[in-house]
Amino acid sequence: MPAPRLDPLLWLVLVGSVGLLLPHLPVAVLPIVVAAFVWRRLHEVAGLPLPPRWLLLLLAAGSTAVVVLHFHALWGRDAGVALLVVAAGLKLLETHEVRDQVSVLLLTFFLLISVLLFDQAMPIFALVMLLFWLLVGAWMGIAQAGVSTGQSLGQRLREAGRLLLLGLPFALILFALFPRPPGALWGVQQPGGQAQTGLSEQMRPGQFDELAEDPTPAFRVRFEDSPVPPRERYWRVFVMSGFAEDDPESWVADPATGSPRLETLDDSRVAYEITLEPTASRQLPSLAAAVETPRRSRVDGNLVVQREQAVDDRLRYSMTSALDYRLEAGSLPRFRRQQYLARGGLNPLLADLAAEWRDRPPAERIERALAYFREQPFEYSRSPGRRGGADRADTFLFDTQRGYCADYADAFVRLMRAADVPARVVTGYQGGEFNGEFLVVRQSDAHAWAEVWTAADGWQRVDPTAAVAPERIDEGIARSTADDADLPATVRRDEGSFRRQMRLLAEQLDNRWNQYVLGYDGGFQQDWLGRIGLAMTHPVWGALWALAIAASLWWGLLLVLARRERRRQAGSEAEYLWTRLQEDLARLGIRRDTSESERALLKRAALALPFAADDLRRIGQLLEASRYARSTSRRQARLLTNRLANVHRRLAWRGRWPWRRA
Amino acid sequence: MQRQPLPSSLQIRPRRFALGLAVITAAMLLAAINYGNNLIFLIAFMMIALMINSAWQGWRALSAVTARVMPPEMRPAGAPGSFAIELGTPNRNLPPLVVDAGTDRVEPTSATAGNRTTLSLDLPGEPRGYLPLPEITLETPYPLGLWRISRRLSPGIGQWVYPSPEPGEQRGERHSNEASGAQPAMEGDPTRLRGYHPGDPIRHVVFRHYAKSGQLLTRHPESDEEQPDPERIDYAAFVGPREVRLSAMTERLMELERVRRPWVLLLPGKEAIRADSSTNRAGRYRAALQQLARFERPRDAQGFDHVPPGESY
Repeated sequence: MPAPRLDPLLWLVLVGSVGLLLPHLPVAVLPIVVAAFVWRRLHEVAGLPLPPRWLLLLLAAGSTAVVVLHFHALWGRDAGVALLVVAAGLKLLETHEVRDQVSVLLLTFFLLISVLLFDQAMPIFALVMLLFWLLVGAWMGIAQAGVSTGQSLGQRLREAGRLLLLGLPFALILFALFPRPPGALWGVQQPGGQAQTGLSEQMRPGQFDELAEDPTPAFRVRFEDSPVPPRERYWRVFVMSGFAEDDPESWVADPATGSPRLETLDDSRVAYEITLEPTASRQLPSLAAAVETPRRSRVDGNLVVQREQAVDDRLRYSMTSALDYRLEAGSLPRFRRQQYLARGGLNPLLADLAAEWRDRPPAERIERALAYFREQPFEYSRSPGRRGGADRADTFLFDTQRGYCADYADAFVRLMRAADVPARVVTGYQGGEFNGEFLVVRQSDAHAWAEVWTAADGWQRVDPTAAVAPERIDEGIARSTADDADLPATVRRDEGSFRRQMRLLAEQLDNRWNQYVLGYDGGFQQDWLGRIGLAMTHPVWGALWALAIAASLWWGLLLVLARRERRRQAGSEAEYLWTRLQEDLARLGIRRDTSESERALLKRAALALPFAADDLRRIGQLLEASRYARSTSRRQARLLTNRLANVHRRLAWRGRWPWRRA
Repeated sequence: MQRQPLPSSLQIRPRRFALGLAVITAAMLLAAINYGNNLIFLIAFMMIALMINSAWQGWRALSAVTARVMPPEMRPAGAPGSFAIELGTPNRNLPPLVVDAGTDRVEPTSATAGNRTTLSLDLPGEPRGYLPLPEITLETPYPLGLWRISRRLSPGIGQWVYPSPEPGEQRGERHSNEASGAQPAMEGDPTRLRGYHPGDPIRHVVFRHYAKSGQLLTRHPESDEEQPDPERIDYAAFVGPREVRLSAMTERLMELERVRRPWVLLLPGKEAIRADSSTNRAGRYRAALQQLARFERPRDAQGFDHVPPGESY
């Protein structure tokens, strides 16, 4: 005999949840899950018998083995979710009774929640909430399975929606007030996997060309005061002074070093807050010289902000930087100096050019190099037509003269080193575009520049790209490259583009979502609670406080709704108040007998409650008039309502609190 | 039909499923704290809201249900019966309900698409008497089956259970007029007078004769001529213990009623009930059965009969 059909809404949510989890499941698990779904469906539709228990056990063991082989663990998010999906599939094959559907319902509920462990984007959450609504509808059907309800799916969904909507205020109040303790409880961090492709610790030729086409936001910045001008918006991420062992044309990031020897001008400090998309690396973008860094991070000797852990999830942090600074001014240790003078590759032409400047002061050597870029017909291009080989810099400087920021930075640093000026490459982002109050810095804003060292000024930033294409620094990549037609509209900053406008709008929404929903943490909460004088230092007190406020506000709301409904059912305000008054009298021990008239009751009440005797008698007269008189005036009706309201107010508390009866 | 809404008491208790769900929600909160995942926080809070809201909605739905009980038909002791209950809501559809009348029979509502439905509930066989209808429990799993929301209703009306009709033995021959002191039949009597019998119409009483002699006589019109004298169903005329006699009397009463013959019911300490063609026969028959049902039954404060524990029908 076929088992009862699974609730259609439950089917829908089950398939939807597994669909959302598909990208995160091992491929080997999918056939088992799909087969289980199909088998169950065939059982329901065509009466195909469900598999025997031994086969189910075999399938369960096989699936577990697949998961262990794939993830090398049974514990953790990815393995756990894969097992959950398998369990849901197999549970379908042993659901014989309506009651068993409760287990499937709970499993589906977990599946739905687990989607949020992988992705918390707004559209995904909207989908999850939609499925959650359907799941509550399915839940209603399963809970009332033993009773014939006569309810259609539409009715169930309406009821489910009403339940969710009525609960929403309570959920939102709790969301706002419930404490967010910092850190993990059992030390299991959410694994990564959301990191975007962006800057890496190695700068290879051509790497930046690809990034130029990527309009994905890398991070968003909100300045505390006025924003810094575009020419100062150099977001430092990696400092590179050495070459890759296998490729002397590639630069590699320096390891984190000790503290910087830094002098800063207080007047030049700017405070800002960055919301960084996952990068899977430990470096945090910062402006110029970071002087105040977020918790669990520090500034290393190269002015790179190093975090203790990699940024695997979206991160919001506040930082203060000094725009005017001197780093390691005066002297440079010999071994460091040698490191910053090392040349990679074979670029004899470049060496010859730099040799001409060697007898000049360091500042003039730098100026000469920049002048070379300005005076020669260099072109800023994303498709420079690079050639391989150990003399790539020579080719770029003296032959093609077409390049992207990384080519200019690379060539400039080599020139400086050949001219005996310590130099290094810095990679990060430059510029950004304001969208609302936030400066959006995209992957396409990735940039490479140079830093040269002089005894007088220490390390100072020199951007050879600015010498060739100053508009790149002022207006972004699109206005500066000759071949920008194939760039996305967002990157091109094409003001008339509808797609770009939509994208900006979506980004704004996405950012608000990130800032106020996903990024709503303990700091944010304490901040606004502090402003209204409700900040709680202890999380337990905070939780109790949140529950108390949420419960009282919600209770108040439900009370209002209940009264509104009672009023509606009573038909008129006077009838409603009369019912309430009878309840008040009953609480005071004056109950109406079944055969007692309204007037008789009120007479009895007047004798028992002398302080309200006049009002009660008058109410009796007015009630009788309203019930039996041929016609009643509006004034009389108003009088009755007022009297009823007045007496109800006076008696309501007396009935509830006995000590007030005296 | 009960006009007033029935007095009731409402109870909300969590089901095991609700407790399990509360544990799961707590686990979700811990996971949300651990992963710093605000969306899981939100879903966990929505779960809490759903749990509380479902209690509120269930309470609201059940407290809006009005119930009216239709009194059951009279039935003999030991025979099962049934009664009807009309359930309704003023402004909304009825929630799914389970109606339990205290017996092992549980009736789900058959149609809740509208806002009114009538159900028939079975009653078990009972000893004779005027017995209270069992308390009715309305239970709803609405909306999510997390709470056991139940409402107990006291119908406040009773069921008439008359003695089970069984043939019994009578002392000697039946005498139609002996015990009542009535005079013999008036064959050829032109005055058509005879002794008064309880239940005789007052207009037939010959008050002039009463004033002269102090004896009550009634005059019988011509139409009564063919009607036989009522048969006496007298408690004293039957033998055996009380319940046996009552069963026999009931059997005799029903037999006479079936053949439409006049009868008079005589129970010690009770006013005699008489039925013939000139009286409200159906009413008398009903009153007689009620008298037989309640004979020598002590009453409780609510006016129902007390049935000694262990008494069988």
